[in-house]
Amino acid sequence: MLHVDRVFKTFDGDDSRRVTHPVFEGFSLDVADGEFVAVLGPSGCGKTTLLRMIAGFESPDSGRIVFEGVDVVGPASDRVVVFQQPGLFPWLDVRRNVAFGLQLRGRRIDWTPVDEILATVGLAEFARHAPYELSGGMQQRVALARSLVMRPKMLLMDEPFAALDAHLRHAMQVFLRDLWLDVRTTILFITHDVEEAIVLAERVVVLGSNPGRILGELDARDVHPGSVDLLDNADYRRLRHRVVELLGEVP
Amino acid sequence: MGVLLGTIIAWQLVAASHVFPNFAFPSPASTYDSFLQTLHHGYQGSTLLQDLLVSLERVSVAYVGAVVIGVVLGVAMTQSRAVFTVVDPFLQFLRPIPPLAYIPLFVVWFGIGEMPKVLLILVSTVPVIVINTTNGVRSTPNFRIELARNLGANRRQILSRVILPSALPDIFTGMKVAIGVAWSTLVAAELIAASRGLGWLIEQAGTELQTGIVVTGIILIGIMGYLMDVAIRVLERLVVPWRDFM
Repeated sequence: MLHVDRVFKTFDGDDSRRVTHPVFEGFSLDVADGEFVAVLGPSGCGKTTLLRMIAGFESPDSGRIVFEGVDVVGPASDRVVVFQQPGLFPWLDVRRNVAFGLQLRGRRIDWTPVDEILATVGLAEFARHAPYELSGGMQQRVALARSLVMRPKMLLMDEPFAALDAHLRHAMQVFLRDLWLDVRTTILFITHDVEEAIVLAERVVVLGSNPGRILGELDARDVHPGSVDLLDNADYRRLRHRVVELLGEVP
Repeated sequence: MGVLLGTIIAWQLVAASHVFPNFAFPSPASTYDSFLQTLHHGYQGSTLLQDLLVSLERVSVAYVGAVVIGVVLGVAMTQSRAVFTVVDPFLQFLRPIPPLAYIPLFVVWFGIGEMPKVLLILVSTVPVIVINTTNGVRSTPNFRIELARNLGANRRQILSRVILPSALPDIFTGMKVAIGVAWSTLVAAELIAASRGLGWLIEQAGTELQTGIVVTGIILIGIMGYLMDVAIRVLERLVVPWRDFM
């Protein structure tokens, strides 16, 4: 479904560093249809840049990003990003926020999918509320619903739960995992949180920096966010140990 | 309320002490008499209400015009490099000039009719609206624009459905400043060149030492300015209730 093929990308004029600085030098990654992949890495390894290139907000200096057989040239609603901030439109109520993408094609829309997706994320009774009347977790679920209602082939999630407190983050992880089991949209999930990557994804891609490269991949199908106590879970401990090993190899 | 009452009592005491002659420093009671007099019988052929309405009409026509022109111009300046290059120098040049400096010119050009007053308010308020509009447009969070693009918005949709609503709180900031500027500019213009209006009323009454009427006019000008400010704030709360939650 997605091929990132020998991508080169340099970053220039980023506020702190004045020098051009290679983010990726021949980076490749494949994601299969329906997969839930987590990209795990320390800050500065270029994982957000990778996501922004796949989304079409930035283009690689060389190399190709092919999505569904077509080169990515810009953002499109078949690859929808969920950012760390929910970024809801404060002048629209919850229902209209979710309908935003559909209404770009014409003001008169069928509201059925909007109301269905609101029910799916458990916010049906908040449809008429303003975004600022909702908690952070609820806002992030609205953002998710706004993306899902477009029926994207792929969800690109950039640390979407990083701003939430531990309890809510866990609840959202359970929610997202269940949602994925239900709708089976391909998900690329960016995070720096080892536990989050392991419990959510089927496959964890561990990234190192300077330049961004794959240190190793893990099969994390057997660990789920529902697991009562992760530290008692032998699979989880083994995977976690492996991640620490991989990241420890960073010079 | 207590402050208001205290002020009136102090005012009455100073007036009753006769430190200042009555014609120069009218008491609250004689001011109230002047108020009733101008309200019911008018002054030099126009009642207080007529003068008030004339001033209000001028200020509202010009203010609405200024907001429309200012927002359109401000948005255009952010969307087109050419418009910015042409308009910005004028804006920067006009800004430090007190609007009253144009009065002699406008009187020569347009006489003392409605046109020069409306124009004067426009000249003094449009820059305020433009600057706040461009600020609002430029401070639209980038992730909001990217999200809209991601969901399939074209350039025009991003402008109308994301950037304009995002700029509304700043546009209202400009509108709140502009209403005060508009009102004081108008009154000042009426002082110099008018044959009706609150500014004209206090100027005329002053030359005839009718200080009761002058004070009445001043109080009314203050109250009206305050009410306009309140009106804009109410409108703001209706249109951008999310402003404090950004």
